[in-house]
Amino acid sequence: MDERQLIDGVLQGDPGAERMFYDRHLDRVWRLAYRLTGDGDLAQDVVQETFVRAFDKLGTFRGESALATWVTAIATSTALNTLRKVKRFRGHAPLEDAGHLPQPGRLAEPDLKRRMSEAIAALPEGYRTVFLMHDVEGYTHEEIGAALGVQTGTSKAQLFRARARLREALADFAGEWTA
Amino acid sequence: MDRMTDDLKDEPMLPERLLEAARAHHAPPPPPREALWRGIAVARRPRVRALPVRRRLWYPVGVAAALVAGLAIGLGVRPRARVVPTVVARAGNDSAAAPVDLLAQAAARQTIGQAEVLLTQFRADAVTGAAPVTTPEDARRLLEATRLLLGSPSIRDPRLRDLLEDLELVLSQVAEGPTAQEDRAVITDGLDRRDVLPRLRAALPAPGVVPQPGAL
Repeated sequence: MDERQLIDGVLQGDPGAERMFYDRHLDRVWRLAYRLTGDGDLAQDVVQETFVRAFDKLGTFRGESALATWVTAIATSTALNTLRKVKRFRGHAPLEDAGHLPQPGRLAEPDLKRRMSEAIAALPEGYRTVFLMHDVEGYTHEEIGAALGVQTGTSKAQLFRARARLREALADFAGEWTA
Repeated sequence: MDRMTDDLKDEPMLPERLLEAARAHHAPPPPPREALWRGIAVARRPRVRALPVRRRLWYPVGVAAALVAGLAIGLGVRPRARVVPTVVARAGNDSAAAPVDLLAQAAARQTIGQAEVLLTQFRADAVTGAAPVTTPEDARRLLEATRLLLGSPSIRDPRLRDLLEDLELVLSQVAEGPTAQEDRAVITDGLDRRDVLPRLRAALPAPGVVPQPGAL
């Protein structure tokens, strides 16, 4: 079943088409939701709301982008809104600035992962989102621009700054990766 | 352009060792495919929109409706002079909180208190597998009160609005009168994941405490 047939089937309320739509997009939506939220429960909320919105609004899809890009845009916006709501409810407890973390000498791999995770969490939302989508999940700048509603150049600029900040935050590893 | 052919002016890709560490950040486990699908199916069921006219006045709906009606009548209708100090005095504060705001807070307290009771009972029944004590009609009445509150400009606190939005979602599911254990489990799972019951309890004043204007 091609994309157009799938959309028509969903719009006509065909349960088989709805399930196929879900199966085709679930992995991508789930990975993005989990990467951005880092919490299984929140990721489930995001996935659920993304598909509910996608099914509700599929009639407005004009085919100007790939269906996967359209679904990704819904997922990204839902995830970011969910994170903002959670932050507002729980109160913002700022993560420790990665630039001020202790600077050990040679670090073991688990420490590198922890430090990287803290550094990613300390990035501004826009930088973090673009970095995770591009460098970790493999989205193109065009896809990111479409998902976030920004120009491709903005996505590139944010990635540039994100990488620079991560390099700076993990500068004490420099000797290891240039050695 | 794809990620492997970035412009030369771009910050170079991170070294592979750092990228590997980045991939470990929030690394997704496999999705709970069937549980998610069930949750989506429940959430997509038609929500209760039109409610039948009821003969019995139910307090939260009555207060919330009065709030909305008061707003609808317009700002040109001034409250009777003796009403204002009574309401404010009862709240124990001489601040300039508008009577309509105080009414909204009272309606919100009442609705949240009733919702806490209903959802606690619903959850207990679902967990034990007992027949539901709560009725869909109870949930529909609370749902109506919640929606009236969400439509009120007097409810401005973003945390309270978030709570009412989550409450609306849960109540719309309970109002459908789910009887299958699986459907009830999906609802209680959502209750737990959103911390709805703890948030409802936290939003209620402790017994004997007189709420202040501006506070819930």
